[in-house]
Amino acid sequence: MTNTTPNDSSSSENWLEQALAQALTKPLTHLINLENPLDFNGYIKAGGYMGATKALKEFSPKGVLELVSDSGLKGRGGAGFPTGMKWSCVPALQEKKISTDSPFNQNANEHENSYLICNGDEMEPGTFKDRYLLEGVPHQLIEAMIIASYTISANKAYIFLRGEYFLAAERLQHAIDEAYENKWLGENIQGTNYQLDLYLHTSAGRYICGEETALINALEGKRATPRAKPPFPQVSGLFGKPTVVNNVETLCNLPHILKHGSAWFKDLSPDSDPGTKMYAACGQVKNPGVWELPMGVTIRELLYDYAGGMKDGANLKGLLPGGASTDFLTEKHLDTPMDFDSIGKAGSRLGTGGLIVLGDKHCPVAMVLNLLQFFAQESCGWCTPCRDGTPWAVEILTRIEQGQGSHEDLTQLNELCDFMWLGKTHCALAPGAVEPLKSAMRYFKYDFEQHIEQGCCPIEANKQNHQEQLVSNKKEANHGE
Amino acid sequence: MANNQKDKKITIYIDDVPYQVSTDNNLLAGVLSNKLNLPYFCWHPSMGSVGACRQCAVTQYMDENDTRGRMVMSCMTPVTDGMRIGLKDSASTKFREQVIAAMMTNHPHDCPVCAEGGECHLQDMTVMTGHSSRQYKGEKRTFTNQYLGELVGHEMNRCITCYRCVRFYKDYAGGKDFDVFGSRNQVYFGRQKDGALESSFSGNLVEVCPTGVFTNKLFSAHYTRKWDLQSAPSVCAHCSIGCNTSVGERYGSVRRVMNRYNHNINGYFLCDRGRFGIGFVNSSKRIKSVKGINTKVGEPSIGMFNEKSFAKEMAQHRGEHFIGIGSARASFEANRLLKYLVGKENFSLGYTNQEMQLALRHKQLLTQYPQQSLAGIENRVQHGNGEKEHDLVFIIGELVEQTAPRLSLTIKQVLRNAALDKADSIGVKHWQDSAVRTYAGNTSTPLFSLQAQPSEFDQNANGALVLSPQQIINCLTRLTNMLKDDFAISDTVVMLSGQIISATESVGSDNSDVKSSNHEDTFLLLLARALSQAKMPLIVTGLSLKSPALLAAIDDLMACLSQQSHGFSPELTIVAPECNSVGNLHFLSECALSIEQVIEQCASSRDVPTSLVILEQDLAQLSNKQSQQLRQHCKTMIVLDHTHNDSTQMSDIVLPVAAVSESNGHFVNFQGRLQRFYSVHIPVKPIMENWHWLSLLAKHLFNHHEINFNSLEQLQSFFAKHGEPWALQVLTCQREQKNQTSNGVSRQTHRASGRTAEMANQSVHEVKTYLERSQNGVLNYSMEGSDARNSSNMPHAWSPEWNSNQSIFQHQQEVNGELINAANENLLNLSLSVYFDESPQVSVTEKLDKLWPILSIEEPENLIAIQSLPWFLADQQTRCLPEFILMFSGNTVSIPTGIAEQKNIQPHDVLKLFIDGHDLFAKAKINMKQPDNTILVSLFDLPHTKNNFSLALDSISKATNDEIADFQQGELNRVQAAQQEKSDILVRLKKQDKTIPIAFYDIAGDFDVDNTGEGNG
Repeated sequence: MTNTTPNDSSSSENWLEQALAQALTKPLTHLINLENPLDFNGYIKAGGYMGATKALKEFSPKGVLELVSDSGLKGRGGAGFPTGMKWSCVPALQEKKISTDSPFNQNANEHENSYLICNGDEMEPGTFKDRYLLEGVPHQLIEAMIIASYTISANKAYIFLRGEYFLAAERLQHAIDEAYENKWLGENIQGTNYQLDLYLHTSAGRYICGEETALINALEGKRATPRAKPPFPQVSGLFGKPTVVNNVETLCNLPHILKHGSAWFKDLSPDSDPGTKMYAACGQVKNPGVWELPMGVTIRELLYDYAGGMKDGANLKGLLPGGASTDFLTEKHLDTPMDFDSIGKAGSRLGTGGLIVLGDKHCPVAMVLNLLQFFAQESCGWCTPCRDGTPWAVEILTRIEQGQGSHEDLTQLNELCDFMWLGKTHCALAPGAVEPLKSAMRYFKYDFEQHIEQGCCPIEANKQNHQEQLVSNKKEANHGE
Repeated sequence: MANNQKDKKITIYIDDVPYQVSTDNNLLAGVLSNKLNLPYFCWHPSMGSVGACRQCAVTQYMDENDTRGRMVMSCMTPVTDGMRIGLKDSASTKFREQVIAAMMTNHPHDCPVCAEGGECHLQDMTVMTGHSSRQYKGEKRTFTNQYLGELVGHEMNRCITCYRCVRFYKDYAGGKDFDVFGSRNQVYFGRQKDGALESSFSGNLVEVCPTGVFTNKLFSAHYTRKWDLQSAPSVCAHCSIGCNTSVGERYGSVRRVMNRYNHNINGYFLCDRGRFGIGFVNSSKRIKSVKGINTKVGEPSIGMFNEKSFAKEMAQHRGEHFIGIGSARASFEANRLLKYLVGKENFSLGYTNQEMQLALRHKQLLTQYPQQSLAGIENRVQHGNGEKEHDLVFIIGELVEQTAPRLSLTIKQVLRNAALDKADSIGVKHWQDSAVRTYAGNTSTPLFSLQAQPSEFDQNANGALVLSPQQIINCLTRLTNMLKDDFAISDTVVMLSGQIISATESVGSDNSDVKSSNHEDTFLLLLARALSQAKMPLIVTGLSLKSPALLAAIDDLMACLSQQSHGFSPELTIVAPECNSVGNLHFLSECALSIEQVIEQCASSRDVPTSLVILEQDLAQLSNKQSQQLRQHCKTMIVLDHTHNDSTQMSDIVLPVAAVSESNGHFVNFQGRLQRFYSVHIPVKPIMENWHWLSLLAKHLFNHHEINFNSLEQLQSFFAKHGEPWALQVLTCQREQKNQTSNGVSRQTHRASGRTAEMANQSVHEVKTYLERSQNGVLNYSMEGSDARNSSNMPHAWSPEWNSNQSIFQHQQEVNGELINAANENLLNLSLSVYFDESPQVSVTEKLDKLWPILSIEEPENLIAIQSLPWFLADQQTRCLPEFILMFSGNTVSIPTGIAEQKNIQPHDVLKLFIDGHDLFAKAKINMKQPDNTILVSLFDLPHTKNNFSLALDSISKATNDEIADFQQGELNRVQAAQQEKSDILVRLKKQDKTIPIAFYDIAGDFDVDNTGEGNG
């Protein structure tokens, strides 16, 4: 997936031609150019803003909602919630007006304002798909946000961007400025009387900001703790107003659905969830990267055909199918299609679709400890199971990993997994931390027990033994000479 | 209560047993209302739910066939008819224990040295969940603590991160200098940096915190466990609100004040003046011996009282004519008895002519607009039961946060009514605290403020003006006229709607009259329009500006508002100056004497010399000249008081009186409620209760032989026999209580440690034998007796398994409801005497001026001085508390820009103010927002009762260098003296703990000398 820089106009045209050839099969990525992303004119030339034009001029907000609902688009942030359904909870799309009789509420009789927020706080370990879209084709997101904002009657929209995505921030801001210059943002967009202001907000940096209500709190300048639901953000979100939060990738599908229709979108992956998906792989693979593929490719295809298989002769020990907060899957799951239902049935979650691959030369306990350290560090500190449970798990895992654990520790870890599970916590962070831990303790039970029984990490010990063996072999050899 | 009828009750099944719960509250409250044990931390009955701690988890089942169920947080779950939940199922039981186990990973093992020990909610919940062994093997996280001022201690390591403190301090009480910092398991609750907490409600953190992070520093310094405290139900004496308190004592010294739940007044919270101000009873300024009476040589003065020598001494004064001066800080009974002793023609309330007029206006307003319907204005907010709530607040000429801090906390909750209404519109329940705050944001009930000085409410007000007292009156008159003329004014000012005038621009720095009158116009138009749309405006005012004309103007406004038939029901709240000011209104009639009249009588008496009996009255409201005249003209001055002050200094005889914590009686609060306070311990003779002294005076000075009271009840019975309704009321009430608890209620909790050991330094005998002789039949100095919950006057809150104040739900009919054994409301029936009754306005003014003429010596160029003392010094009694003195940042005077320019005064210049014959010094502040002719004074040595007085411009001057040095030395001395006093008190009390003879706990009516205790073998 390398893009050559289009140096001159002819090669540029060449590039565009090649890119456009993939418009119907790789809608999200066909215009990606990481070195030199399309500017406004380039994007227009490539057919950009056609989706938005269509939405604004040919559709009513309800019409867009129906189209998107019909397309079956599911949220790409991890939970896979149908986008149309999420939007339809916004009061503006329900024709249910909220009235207050206070004389001091100036908005009493006006239409209540709503907000669109793009969740670009991509902090899930092992996940970098949104970055690719943000850096590679920023105008696509802006177009998408115009469509979504129009649908939910938002006049203000925010991109909440991961603070470390400096390049994306720069490129997005440039694209936003261009969009304002070209009347795609601001008042009276393209003469349609529709107004939208788009703001880029770069996060101060917490994993929890990826949780939509924590994100909203952070955007309001409050502590980034998730809010209690109900009420959901669609009813009471940013500054108490109806708010929709969508993932970058989810939004980026919109221009193409508008352009090509919902039937096309569904046809992209006839046997699975509709559309394409940004899949990625990292860890012990030969060729880590990110690819746009039809929804429902199998893990095996992704791992071996795209990521080039295991690295350095290692054997597959296990993998996390969709970022750090998903359950481990193993060899036997390799033929599972990567869609929301199938991965769910296999005992994990599609999550972000970013594989993290563990080979047999690395210690699963150390990997889980590393993940739990991350989750304990990133806990917002609001609810007890997460705040005090994740550090406790880290404490136990640290001891086990150092060979100082006991079998009671495993019992305690299992209890902690139960303690931090869904329904018991305020948000999904701690259950997300439990997923790799609990599944690792199931699939790699032997490794945990070996740590305890041998009083050290067996894999490290093996490596050391191997080293020592090499050294002593060498010595023997030397001696023999 | 009307509230209860509106509650909708439904049936839910808890572990398959049906229970009735209210739909107004969440599942947790429903469970607790049925007196079932369910642990919780972050939920607070008054602050609602946020779902942080996860402690109150229960299992919810779909139907009776569902055996698995799913876990829900009961505090976040609304109740539905027929819902089935499990408390005893293994899943939720185990989870609740795990929550405690997780909290305990960082909670230190310092229970033995923790001030919360024995009344720790965390301890209770830990035991309740059955968590009894530690699995966590790692290190505990530690924090650095902060200095949070003189009142509240900080021990962050104990924190279990329930977020209650910040929710109370910031969200509920509107504090700005306390917050939550950090994240993960390093969440820190405190200030941005070390420093005294600014809120006047910081002490509630001690009760709101479920463990020992925030502690009462004064209590910790002289500490005892809750189970060793003897407690008594008391009433706060530091303002007119009459918050119910529980005062705790050990070894004869008061240790602390805790909130005592009263559904209709203070709910769960007190202000810091009430909580910490009680320390004044331990001050070295307390009067402990009789002054001016010859006692026999060799007799120790402490612990003794020789009635014979007292009688002999008093006999010498029998020929004198006595005038009695009562006070608004003495109990209702004591004032009544004094009036009886001297006769109504010889009774004064200690008020000047101006104060007499003021009091009469106050009485008139109270009679006309009874305030009992105001009962629990905060409660209605909590309940949200559909009853119409206040939809506008208008504060006039009373700095509530200074004079009645607890009321300002209530007003802050009233201001949330609009937000709760808004939440209703999307079906968010009122108890969903975070959801309401998210959705309604800063939505506030319309608020208007018309003050003589800047107020904390200004910044959130829809309109706020700072004017001189006279301008306030003019402004009110204009408002009334506007309302009278036509309610349709709204048409003309529609374009002004939503425009906010803030204090900052209210009176501009340029002082242009045009501009300020424009502001006033806008303010009035907005206010008139808002008032015309409000269904239930709340009007708050008070007496601190001492302006009868202001009350008259408010009377006009109320009359106008009430006449409009727009479904209006305006409510009026009047903050009274002291804890029993409203009680004194009962004694106010046309024959009551003002101080001016007292002086006149003293001066004019020819045949018989006139003398004075002064009851707990420091007479600080008198001018220097008046005090001198009074002293000069009266023959004998007998003062009964508990703390040294101006009047004790100039008196001939001082009789040491028990302070509120040592005495019994009733105070009448601002609403007219007669509230009983009980002594927490028996005063050490010769200190005696005020009615007791008066009873002795009756016998030995006044020849009233029918009076020989050995108990307060005898006094009440005496007046009941005279047919006085109040006495009949309180006697009925007290009898009911006795019937509830025939053995008397124990002052100690059940868990009293080492019952026989508590006086072991003196005697191994149980103190019971001594103490129980002095029972008044209602409260026992014992751990034995009826359970506190059976009484309407609970000395302490305690219930099996609930040792902290959180136990209060066990004593409420339902969460946030009335107490199970709530006493009948005793409302004082105030009626105007015929003399003033049904008189047209004009003639009342005429009558008042005739009876108690106010000599106006006001020069138009004179300045008006307004008191702007901080809340902790705005009460004379608490001014001797060293902690409060240390909190005072020094004398200041705030002057308007015009005067500053005229006199070339720079900020921080030291000014000399010549006030009433005294030179007072203060640092200058220059305030652009201040009306031209007012100065705001915050002077430690100026009694707070002197307010809104006239001051010649030339009585302000810059201090000379010598004077500045003296001033600075004086300020320093005050701080050093306070620090010294603080440590002296501790040394003295701790010494007393070890040496106090048991016999000091003597029977109240028994004057025999006995300080040896019962011999032990």
